[in-house]
Amino acid sequence: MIKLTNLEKVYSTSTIETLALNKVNLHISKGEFVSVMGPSGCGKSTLLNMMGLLDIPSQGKVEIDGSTVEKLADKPMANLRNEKIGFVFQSYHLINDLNVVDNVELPLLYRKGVSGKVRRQKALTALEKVGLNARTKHYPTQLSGGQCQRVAIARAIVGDPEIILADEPTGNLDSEMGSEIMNILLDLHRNGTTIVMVTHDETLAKLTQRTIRLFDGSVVN
Amino acid sequence: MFKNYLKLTLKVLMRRKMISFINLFGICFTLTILLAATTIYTLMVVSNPIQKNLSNTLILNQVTFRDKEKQSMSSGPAMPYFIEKCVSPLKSEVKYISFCSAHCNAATIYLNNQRIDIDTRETDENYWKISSFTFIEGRPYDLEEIRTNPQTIVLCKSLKDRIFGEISVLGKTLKLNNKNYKIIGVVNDVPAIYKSAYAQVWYPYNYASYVSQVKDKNFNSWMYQVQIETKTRGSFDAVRKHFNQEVAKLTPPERFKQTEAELESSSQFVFKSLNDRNQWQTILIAFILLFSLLPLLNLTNLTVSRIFERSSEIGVRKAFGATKRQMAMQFVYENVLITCLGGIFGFIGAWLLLKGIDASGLIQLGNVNFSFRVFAYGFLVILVFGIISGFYPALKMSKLQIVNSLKGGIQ
Amino acid sequence: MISQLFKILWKQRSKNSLLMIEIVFSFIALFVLSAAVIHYYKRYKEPLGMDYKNLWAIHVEQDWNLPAELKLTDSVKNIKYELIKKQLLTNTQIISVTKTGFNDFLYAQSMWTSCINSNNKQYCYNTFSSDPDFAKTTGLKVIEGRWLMPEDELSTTKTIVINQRFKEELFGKGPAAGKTITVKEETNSYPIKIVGVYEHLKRQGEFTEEPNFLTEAAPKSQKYLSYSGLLIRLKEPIQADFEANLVNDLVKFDKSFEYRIEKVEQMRREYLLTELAPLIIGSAVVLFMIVNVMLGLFGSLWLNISRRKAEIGLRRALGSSSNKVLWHILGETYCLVAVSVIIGFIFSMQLFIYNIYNTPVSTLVQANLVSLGLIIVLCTISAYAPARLAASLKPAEALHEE
Repeated sequence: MIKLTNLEKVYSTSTIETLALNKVNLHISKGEFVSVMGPSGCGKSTLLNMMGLLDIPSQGKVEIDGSTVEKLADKPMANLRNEKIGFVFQSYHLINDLNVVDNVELPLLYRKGVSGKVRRQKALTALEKVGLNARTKHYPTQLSGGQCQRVAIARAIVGDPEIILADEPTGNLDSEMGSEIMNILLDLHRNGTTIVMVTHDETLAKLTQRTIRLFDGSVVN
Repeated sequence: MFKNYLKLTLKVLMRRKMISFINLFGICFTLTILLAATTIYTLMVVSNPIQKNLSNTLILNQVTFRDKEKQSMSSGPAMPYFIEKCVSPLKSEVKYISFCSAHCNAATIYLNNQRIDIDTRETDENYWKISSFTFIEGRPYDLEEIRTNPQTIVLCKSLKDRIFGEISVLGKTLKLNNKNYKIIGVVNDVPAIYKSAYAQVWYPYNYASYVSQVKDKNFNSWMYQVQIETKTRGSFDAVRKHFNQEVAKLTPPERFKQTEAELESSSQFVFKSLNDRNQWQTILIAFILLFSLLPLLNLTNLTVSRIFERSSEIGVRKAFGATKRQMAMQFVYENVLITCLGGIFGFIGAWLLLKGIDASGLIQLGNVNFSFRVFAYGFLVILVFGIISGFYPALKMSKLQIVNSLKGGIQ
Repeated sequence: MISQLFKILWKQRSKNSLLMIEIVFSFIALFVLSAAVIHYYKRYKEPLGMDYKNLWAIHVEQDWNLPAELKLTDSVKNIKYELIKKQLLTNTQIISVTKTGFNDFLYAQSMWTSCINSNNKQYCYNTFSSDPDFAKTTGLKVIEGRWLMPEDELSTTKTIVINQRFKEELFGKGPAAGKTITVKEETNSYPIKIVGVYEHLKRQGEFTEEPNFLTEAAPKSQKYLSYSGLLIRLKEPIQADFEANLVNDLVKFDKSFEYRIEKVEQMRREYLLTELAPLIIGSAVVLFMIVNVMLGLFGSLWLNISRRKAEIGLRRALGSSSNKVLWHILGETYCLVAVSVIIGFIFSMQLFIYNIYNTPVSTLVQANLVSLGLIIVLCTISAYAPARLAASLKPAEALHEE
């Protein structure tokens, strides 16, 4: 499903060059639930961003579903993100000016030929899956952290992506809420979604099928 | 998609009320000024309810004679001899040629010891064809009447009401400058900004004197402004060319060697007289134009500032599949919506301002409804404002890396 | 401290450039407006020279279109004017009457301008004829020599009085009364004799510049028309029907003319209004635009501060007092103003160099200072609220935001 070959990422400013990823080779198969662990600054998030096409590698190849993507133009890249990938962020990144259901609908806005009715229907279904169908008209500021993250997951799954990339989804939550979120992700995994999750929490990592450990930009398995 | 943006725009507007107010205020004010100015300009230069074909009209306002060394010159409105020699030959190529006194003459009458100042104008018979006056009663004078019965006048309604009250006055006489004139028509009032059409009393030119002046080749009566209504605006060049040929053929009066005269379009005519009158007015116009840019800068600046605020939103939208183009369009669309909203207030503001100016009597406008043309210009300005102010921030934004905007720091 | 402020300004130059353009615009606008106001005010302070209250102008003219046989010759008109003057003086309401050519120029666009060459220099002046009663009727103040006298109308040399401004241009501080200057025309040259100097005379109201004036006596033998009408000074109180009766009496006295009365006080009021109107409209537009700029400055500072809460919190945490934070924000604004004013000043210097409207340099300097002061005040007002907001942030909550 996701294949990274000799992936390198260098962040350079005028004075300093930082090597964030160093020759990473990785293969994640369809339907796998993989966790990524490692100390701060080891390149976990960078790795996830590369997989999610949010950032462009300096060297190497990113393949998603068999097609090379790192050299695509803006538009096909955006389409790929829209159809194949769903993101969950540590700090939720909900749009505060939109209510819950509008937030969840967002990925479908950028998909061609989805009518308003279908959008609404799909968004409500996704919210039901995360158990938030009672709060569709609330605004993000009126929700707790756990609820926000569940909205974010609903947003990630509304477009039926094959891959979900989660960057420390439980990082801002207490353990009780964290495990709630984890249960939702496990549910998704059971339904066949490929999930890559960055986490600090060993207990959560143990629940996944495979754990990739990163240190200083390299995989240390 | 656009419905969604509309919702979001309104939310964004409501969220930062202060910033929204600043933007709306600026656009509304600028548009008010621009619309009011354009409306007045249109009434003076393009078309108004009385001078419907102003944009097709050429005006001869000044004739200048110079000597060989260009040291001394003599200049003023056209005289009968000049009109006969240089303007009349154009008759077959244009719709109407008409002349009238270049400036209104002041006359005073005393009514029960009350002084009434009256602006009077001498005109020919075509004057009534070039401009469409609304006759409440009676009719204008024709050439026959000018020849045989020169002591006739047409007066405006407010003056008639003031002197005679609300009665029919056809056939009654009015004493002006110690002479008795027979009233043959009453027209609706003409606002003073309709320059060539304005007067309160119109009376026929002195036919006998005109004919004798032409016969004597008299160059001394600097009196008349000539209006030429052409068939189309496109024929201006041809008419001007013919006119210039006729002017070149004219033998100037004694002492002088050279004749200069120009057929001006209505805008040339209006702006020349503006410039002559007061230099500050030119600065003022430049000012208004320069300053209409300020709200545009404000809107752009605040939109850029807001991008920083909304960087998380931008990152998320991109992460979930928005292309750079779609994001840029969103910002442009949002700003167009904001400018449209400001524009609506601007239209209302301009209408109120014009009504206010008209009602205060400072400048009589006569007609404060927006023409389709003004409406279109206003809308164009709104669109340009929205697009420009949205485009620059959108350009800045599309350069951002998604990762950076998700982190919230775009320095 | 200050160098750090400029560093921040330079780092954020692309963001600040739009604000800077706005401040430059406002500076130029304020400069032009204050130059106009100062210019007009200075003119207004210069005396009018003439007492306009209860002074009426009577235009005495024949109808343009009269047949030639009914038109009076100029010498007949000159005699008739004298008769009309005598007739007017019989009216007890009228204190004094003067025959003059000044009426045509009073609050009018046209003026008769001539030039003389003397000492290889050209002196241009406005000229009109008047009779010996002009000074008395209009209230002109003669400061040297005397006004024109009846005997000047019999003299063979042309006799004139001039205004102080013209005198100073011709003779500097020295005396002028009794001097003779020579006027050279194309074919002939003739001497004119100056008998007096009057203080001031403006013909178009307080806001206009006083020109050089030369008032000449009209010799009795003169063949061409000297005057265009009369000026009369009235005694108060003036009855409502006085004006109508006066015109009636004049028509009865001599039917060959048309008479039109204009009250100088009213002419002055109308003219001042048309002079002031562009200034008032200009001020209104500038005012609203400045409000716009202030709001823009306010808005972007406000957004800026809510974005920089962390930085401000850090400054507070590192020991900066709330007063210091206030001054820091104001200081940043002043740096922005300083740079903008320098750019604006370069533009206003263009006006110095070209000086299109012949404004005295002192006015331009004053206008620059006034607009600089105004810009500082206005920017302080709009930066104060955001700066206070920043100063009132508690270090803990500001850092927490991040």
